[in-house]
Amino acid sequence: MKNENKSLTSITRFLERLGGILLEPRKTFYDMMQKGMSVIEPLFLIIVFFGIQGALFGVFTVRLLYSFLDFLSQFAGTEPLRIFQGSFIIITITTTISWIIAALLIWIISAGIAHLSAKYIFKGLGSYSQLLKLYGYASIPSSLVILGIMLLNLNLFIFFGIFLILCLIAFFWIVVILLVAVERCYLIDPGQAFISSFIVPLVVYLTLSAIIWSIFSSLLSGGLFL
Amino acid sequence: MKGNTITGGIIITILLTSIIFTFTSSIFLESPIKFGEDVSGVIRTYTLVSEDVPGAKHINLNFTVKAGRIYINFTDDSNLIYKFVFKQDKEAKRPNIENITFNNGLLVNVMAESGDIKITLGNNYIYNGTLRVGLGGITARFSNYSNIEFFDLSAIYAGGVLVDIEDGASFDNFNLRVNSGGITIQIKANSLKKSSNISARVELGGVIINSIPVGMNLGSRLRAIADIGGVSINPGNFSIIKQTANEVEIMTNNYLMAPTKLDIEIFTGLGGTLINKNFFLS
Repeated sequence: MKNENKSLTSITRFLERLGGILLEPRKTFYDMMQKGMSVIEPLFLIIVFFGIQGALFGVFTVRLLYSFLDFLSQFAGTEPLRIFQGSFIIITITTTISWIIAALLIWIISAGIAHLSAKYIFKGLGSYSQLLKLYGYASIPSSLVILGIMLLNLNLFIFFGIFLILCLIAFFWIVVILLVAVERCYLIDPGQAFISSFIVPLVVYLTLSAIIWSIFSSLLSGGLFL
Repeated sequence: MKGNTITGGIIITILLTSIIFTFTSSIFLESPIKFGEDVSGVIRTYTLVSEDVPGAKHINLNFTVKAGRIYINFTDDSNLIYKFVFKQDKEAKRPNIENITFNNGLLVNVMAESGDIKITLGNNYIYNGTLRVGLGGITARFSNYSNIEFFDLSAIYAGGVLVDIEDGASFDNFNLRVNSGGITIQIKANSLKKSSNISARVELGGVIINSIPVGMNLGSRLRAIADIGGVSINPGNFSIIKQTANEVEIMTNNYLMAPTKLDIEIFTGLGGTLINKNFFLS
């Protein structure tokens, strides 16, 4: 009975944390930092949230491919196309794993960039490991994206607009949580936290993309000329 | 604090629903895009009319579908006992239907492996029913042509139940059960033919009641309990009898005096309940 109550309380506390990060991120982060945090929970959240997103995206892609196969089967017959159907599960597994890996990389890199900016440009007080833990919780608003992909799976045409709106809300919510995380962790003002959590990483990612793009395009054009 | 727990509960509900959805969507969802006419399914229709079973007054439906969707609606056709339209895959087994007459009644047993089933019922019979889907959904529209003693609608493993109650619907008891998934109750009625009860239970997921009926002669009372999670309510003009983090009880001001009463009981195991609120605006 005692154990049952204990596990119930820990579930309730976990639910409170999840909701608190969305509704009162400043207070919830403060409380969490006071009590001390483990990296396990944010890591688990990232894996779950982005794993599910990847899986749902994979399922949607597979169902789209099935539509095309249905269409093609009218001309080619069903037998030759059945060979491809067995391999569709690989798509879902691939999107799930790649989503998780991408999310983990972005988590580590974004926290690193924000840490460098907040610590060395704005002379903040916090540590990278603490920011990394707080940044993990920024994955919570992506539950809206999950809801959006589920709706998209139900009806592509009716729910596409709602999907975009949910994605937009999730994006802004994530930015706010990242900002609060940096502000709380390094005790800097919100403007500096916004620059560290959003502007600097954005500039870094855009610059990196531009460099990679220019390398690829030069390789491609070079290859073509050769 | 309570708001945080409810929000956390909603997030967990979304996550768990999405996990179930990931594994099951390919079973019960159609292709997102259709090219040309859908020729993949087979349609089978079964109809029974009053001439086939003379003297029958009570119809008991015992309907089980392992995976698929059931749509129920009522028409003004007084001659119709039932019309079942099955849309199934070509490879799917034919449904097993048996009609057993007793005294002044008819027992209809239906068992199907999979498919989309549209059930149309007449307005001249009293219906009782136990309709179950293992995995999938049930949508039921109860209009003023419906005449029901009890209906038991359930998604045994996972899925959803959507009930739409319109003006003048007649029923004693609705029993809605979902293991994992959701129940949506849309009550558009301002009057019912007799006092009625609705009981909804979801072990894992959520219950949404878009609005609570208010009518001159109709009084409503609602009690909602969430074991782990919360109940979110827009109390509007209703009298609140009890409101805690996990339990809410409300009634309309005319409930005690109203000649017709609607009692709603909701239980959620892990998840949340939204009452008198739109999901997207909650």
